[in-house]
Amino acid sequence: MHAVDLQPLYLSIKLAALTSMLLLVICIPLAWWLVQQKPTRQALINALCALPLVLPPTVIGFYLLLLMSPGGWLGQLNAALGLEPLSFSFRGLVLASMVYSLPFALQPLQSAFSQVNKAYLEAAACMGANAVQRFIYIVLPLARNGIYSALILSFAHTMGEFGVVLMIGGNIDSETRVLSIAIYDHVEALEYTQAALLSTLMLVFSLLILSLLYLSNGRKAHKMGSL
Amino acid sequence: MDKSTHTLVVKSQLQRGDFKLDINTEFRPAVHAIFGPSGCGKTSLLRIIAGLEQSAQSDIALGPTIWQKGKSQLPTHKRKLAYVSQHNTLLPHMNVRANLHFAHRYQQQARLSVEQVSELCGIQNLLEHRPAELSGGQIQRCMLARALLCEPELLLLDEPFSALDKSSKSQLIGCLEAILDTLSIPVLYVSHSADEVLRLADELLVMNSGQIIAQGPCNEVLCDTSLYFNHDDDASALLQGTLHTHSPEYHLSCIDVDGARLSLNQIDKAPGSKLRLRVMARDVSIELLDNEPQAHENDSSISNHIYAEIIDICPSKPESIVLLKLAWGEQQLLARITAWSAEKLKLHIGQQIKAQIKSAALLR
Repeated sequence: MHAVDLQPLYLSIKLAALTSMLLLVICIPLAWWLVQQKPTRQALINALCALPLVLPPTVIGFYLLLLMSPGGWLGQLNAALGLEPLSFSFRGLVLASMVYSLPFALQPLQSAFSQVNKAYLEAAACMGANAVQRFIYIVLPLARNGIYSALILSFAHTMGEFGVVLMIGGNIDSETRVLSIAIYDHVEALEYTQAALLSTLMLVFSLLILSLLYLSNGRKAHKMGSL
Repeated sequence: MDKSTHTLVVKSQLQRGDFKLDINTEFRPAVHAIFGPSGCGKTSLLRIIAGLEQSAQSDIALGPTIWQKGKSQLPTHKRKLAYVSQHNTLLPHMNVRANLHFAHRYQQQARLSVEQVSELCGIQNLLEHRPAELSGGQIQRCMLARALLCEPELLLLDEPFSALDKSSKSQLIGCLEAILDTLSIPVLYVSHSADEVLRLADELLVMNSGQIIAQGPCNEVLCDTSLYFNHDDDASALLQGTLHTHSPEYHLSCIDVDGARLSLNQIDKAPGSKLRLRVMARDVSIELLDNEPQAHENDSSISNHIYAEIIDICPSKPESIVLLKLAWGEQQLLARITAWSAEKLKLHIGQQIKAQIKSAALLR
């Protein structure tokens, strides 16, 4: 039996963690801005952000590949900043995963924000709290469950990413060979033992992290409800 | 109170569908009750003043500070006001203490401490509780406390007690009364309840479909026979009296109202206290003056007679009723009597009569 290389598992976790964190940073202000827009504008932007839900990963991957190529505007921007090329790099993967998982972070946040009662914010404004203070001390704590959901969903979705990675990442060891690709490789090479091991690892790990997050989320929700 | 107090000037127009609000008035430092049917724009007016209604075209200023001029607004958080509504707006993720500190931390010069205000509002033992654990009355107490901690130069109260049962309501009104006595700022108090309003208010503003139809000192508005609601069966007037003496053997207290003496069930206050009484117009009846000498004057102190002048006679509704406006000293009173007896007694404006007050309710 061959030793199993755990590098792909580590890479997948790193990618998923980074992607979900970065998505939170971007989507929290975006979602808050969105819920305050007029319904028509909200619908248009929502449609745009939900595209990754319906497009096949290969289509998303294809467009991203074009954008990141030395001739595409993302590639040109990247070159202008004097950075390493995006395509077939880990940074490129993070960027692609963010696009691919965007709706999974945005939608829970949006629905949580839209449920925050405006009366609390108005009361706080009357007490002298400005918009930023109202957001930090009222909106964020009240939308906490939505933030957890956004984190869980975008993390889980990125862990399972395959098509997009294949399109733009290729299969470079320690750089872009994530777990799903490694499993695919093992199966292609008829190395079923390694494939089974990695698959089991992925299964157990996913179950573990999801349970942990759901548990902490559920306990807090329960605490809030019982008080 | 040494703090400078200012008059609120409001000129505002708001068009929303069929509803049109058009207000142009001033509120001096006093308790102003805003009264009117649902949907007449009372809450909109408070929200416009607080800067929560973006679409209004307004000129609003509190003393020298301009809050709004046309479309350019001072944001709500920069207006020195406090707003208490009937809805629970205590922040649900914080306990009461944190809620009070939340209001406190945004004040540049805090004169009151959280502890002082908690004591004033009787919520010391609630500080560690979450809002979801509190009863309706406790919530409103906490909201009052929070409003006081904002150190407002204007206090807006939008039916703060409408969701409460009768006993917690009267307790809270007592609490609010004590608080309002310590403030010398304009207070705008929206309410449906005449009892609540007449107990607390110095001035009365009556609105109907977005317009002000009457504004002035309470009793002046209440005795204005040109106002439609003063022709209702529950029309009433206020008397300002001084507690004269107690007669413990009868469990009565004697009240001096500009020379007239009224007897009421014993009042738990010291002689010399200022009192406010409410007299329903339907509880006042009229007798002609007899020409006998005033030998029975002492009797009238117990039988609640008042010698007054008729200053207005108005046909009322239903047609069988006329509304009389009576005056003596500084006091004014309404009387609802049948048109038939008015004619039989040949009542006319300027006539001196004897009015009998069947009952009077002590408001404060």
